[in-house]
Amino acid sequence: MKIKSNFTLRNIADTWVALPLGEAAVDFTGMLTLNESGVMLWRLLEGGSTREEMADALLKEYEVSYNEALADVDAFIARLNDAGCIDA
Amino acid sequence: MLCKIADLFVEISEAGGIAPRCVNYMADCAVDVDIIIDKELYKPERWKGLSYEQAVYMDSGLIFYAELLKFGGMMLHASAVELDGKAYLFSGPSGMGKSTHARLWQQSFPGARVFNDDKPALRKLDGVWYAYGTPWCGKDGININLKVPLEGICFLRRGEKNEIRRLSPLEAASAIISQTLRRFSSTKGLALMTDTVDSLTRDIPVFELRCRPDTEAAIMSYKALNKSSREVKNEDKK
Repeated sequence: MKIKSNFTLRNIADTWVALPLGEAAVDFTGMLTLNESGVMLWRLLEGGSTREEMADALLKEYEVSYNEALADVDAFIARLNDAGCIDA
Repeated sequence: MLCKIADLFVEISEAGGIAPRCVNYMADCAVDVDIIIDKELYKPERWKGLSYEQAVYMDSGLIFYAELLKFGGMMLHASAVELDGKAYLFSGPSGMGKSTHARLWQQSFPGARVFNDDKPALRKLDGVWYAYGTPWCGKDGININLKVPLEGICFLRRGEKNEIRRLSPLEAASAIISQTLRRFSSTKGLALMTDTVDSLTRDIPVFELRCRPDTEAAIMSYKALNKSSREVKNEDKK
């Protein structure tokens, strides 16, 4: 599981937005926006981190339990999947 | 054919379908050519159902679009109106009434004139955003070679009643990106586009108008987009 290589993160109007390159852009109607922790998870996923490694990273930055962190990671991945950013 | 478009010298190697539209932009000589639109880059075969002339219109526009980004500019799918030395752009998907609304301005406000009905160029020079006429002017061919400081941008939606609201910077950026070149093969091009949109939405107010095609809608958009009218309204509120 990883982020499709044609997606890139850009900062627009003080917001991080995931935008696609190439033909996918034609069908692009909304923008997938990410907050600070979302950007961190995006970078990790881009670098090939596993779900568990991403949860560990959240634990270091935020006061959450491991299960909450895993749930957050799963929700994040589901969002990206819905937006078509993930290669299975 | 050498043209001056958006304060840039543009060499169009085979103007074809856009030659008649370039007449108002012809330049005699350039110190440096900024943009070369080379016919070798045209891909007429990808425009199914379009004539060669129409394909040249599309492809030359796309090349200009991409090159313009390197000069701090962009094109927006919009109808552009000039009134009292200020430019107002009406944008949105086809069929939302951009041209109709621009013509309503022309009918409602003396001196208002549509100067481009498809893809005006926008460029920031010395801290000021300008709207420019371009040869990519749509099927009606309204094509006046103007350079006018940009006052505001308004996205149109069809509505049962007339309503206008100012978009947040992110909403504005999203709306603008949906009506500009957003198909890039390199991260560099995409980065230039998003940086330009970011700068534009910081500097220029962007609105969404849901409207009927009537004079009331034109007056409503004028009062919101024109800075002096907006400020008067805000004074009243205090």
